[in-house]
Amino acid sequence: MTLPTLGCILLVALLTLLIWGLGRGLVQLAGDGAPSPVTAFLAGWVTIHILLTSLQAVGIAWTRGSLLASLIVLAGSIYGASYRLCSSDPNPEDLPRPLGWGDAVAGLALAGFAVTAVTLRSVHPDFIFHWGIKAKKFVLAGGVDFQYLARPWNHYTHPDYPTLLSEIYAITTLLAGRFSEPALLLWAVPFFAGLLWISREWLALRCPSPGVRQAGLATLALGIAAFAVGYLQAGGADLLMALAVVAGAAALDRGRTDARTDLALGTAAAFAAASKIEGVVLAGILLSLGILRPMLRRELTVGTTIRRVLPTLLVVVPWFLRNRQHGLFQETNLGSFAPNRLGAIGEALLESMAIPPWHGLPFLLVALPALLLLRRPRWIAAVALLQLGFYLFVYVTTPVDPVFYVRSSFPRLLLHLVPIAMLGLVSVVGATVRTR
Amino acid sequence: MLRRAAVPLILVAALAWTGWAFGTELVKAWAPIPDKPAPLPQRWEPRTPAARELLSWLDEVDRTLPKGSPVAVAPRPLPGSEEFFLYLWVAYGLPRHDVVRASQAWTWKRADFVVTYRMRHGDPGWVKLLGRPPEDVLPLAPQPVLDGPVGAVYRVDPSGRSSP
Repeated sequence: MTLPTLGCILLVALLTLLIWGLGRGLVQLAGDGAPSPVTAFLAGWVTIHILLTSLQAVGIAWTRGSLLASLIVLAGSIYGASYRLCSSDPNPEDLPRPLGWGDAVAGLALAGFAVTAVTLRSVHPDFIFHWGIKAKKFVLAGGVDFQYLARPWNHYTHPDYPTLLSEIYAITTLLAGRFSEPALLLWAVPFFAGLLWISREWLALRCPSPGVRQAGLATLALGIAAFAVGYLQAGGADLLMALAVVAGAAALDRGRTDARTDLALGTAAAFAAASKIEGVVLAGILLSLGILRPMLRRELTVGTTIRRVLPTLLVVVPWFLRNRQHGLFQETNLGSFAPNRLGAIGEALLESMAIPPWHGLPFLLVALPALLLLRRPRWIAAVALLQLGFYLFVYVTTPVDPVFYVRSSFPRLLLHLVPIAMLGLVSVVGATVRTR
Repeated sequence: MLRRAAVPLILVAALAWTGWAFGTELVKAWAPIPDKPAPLPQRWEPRTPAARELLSWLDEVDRTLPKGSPVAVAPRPLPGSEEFFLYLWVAYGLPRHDVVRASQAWTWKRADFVVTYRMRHGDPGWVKLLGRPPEDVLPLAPQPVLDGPVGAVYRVDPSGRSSP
């Protein structure tokens, strides 16, 4: 590994801390205390996405200078304001919990995945065909290159997709001064770490047995890492989606309407919407349930609604308007319902669930309807089932060959859902063990 | 009693299963990419020797050709949809340029340059790949602008271009 590559890797680590700190300060300002680390990290990225969109909207090109200046101004003002206005006391829920053997196993699984990413052994094909090429174009254009996206022969890059992941690669490249594949692929690691962290937080709330919690986290980490290595998930956006699903579902599951919960739900939904086109639908699901639940309890306030919905609106409205302005929405996104294809689609779905890198874990999804009937995992199962329903709807209405479509996408989409099924089942197993 | 015994068993079995799965995938990830038969572009990874060779050469092409010039990709005849995947790799390697496929008449006539892969102007595969009569093929200067280990770059002769 060369010295410039090591420098780029260091930059990824520094940016991770900066983005986390930025999000933490911002959520502190909007809420009533320090957010969970995952909420802070997601809020940081949503803020960066909105910042980049705003810079381009006012005609400021993304360059190393403009990025550094705007990051310094943004971080300075957020830190300054949150230092003066907010308590820095950690939330009792975030006090460090003692580390166990399951945390150590999860750390090893994460490290194993990180090594395969940085040595280019788990590179997602879409890093080449989609997110990476877009990032290069954005760097050269000094912003989202709509001219490139709008050319009909570039349809393979999914021109209508939200652009957060390519933006992450573009700003890293601009700040580093070079497009370093090992460093960019390493961005998958903090998102995977976030997935494990939020899973650990959720298990701490919903699984009373420490032993089952540790075993559950270790099993989840190993299973997801196996798929991430075997099905080449570094450099794709599906780990971002998996993180958004668990973070959003966990926030929804808390069932509270305090600022901390509202902002956790709001940032997870906005992050999903900025990550992938199916993330826009996930944001819709999270926000619909996130409004419906307090409404049924007569706890919905204007403040809660704003904190939950506003971050997503700030992401989705510019995305929709820019896509419409440049004619980026694809005709192949939606077709008509064709029930005669259900058999072939069903076979392809089963094939996708049985691919070797998954090692059978997707078959845990059959437990989701049962989890819906239980108190602990009900809300997270509801999110996963609705998202799964959306995927099935797309497959039965797609105007392209559905079998090819399922085979080429469903194994990856399962990554959004399998962690929820695993967490739900761990909580059920944990509930059967009496804690002393 | 049964429940108390079943929970640890379930947990140990789940851990052993996912631990074995992770170990298996790590071992596979460290297996070398076979040289023979060489993988086709759809199966390439950035560490695949053929991909590294192509990207390394395209780096030179990207810096040499005038920025923003339309470039068509013309590989040797490849099975199935492999020509499309090779085009994607070339597009990734030539970010400063507007890259189109030579196999698509509606896009390739825009090209100012043609990048070939494992093929030279005049090879039997040249016209076969394009699937149309020679007179519809862009007039190329016979000598390449750039010659590399995996392909060559030809300039389109503007005087011989029949339509834009």
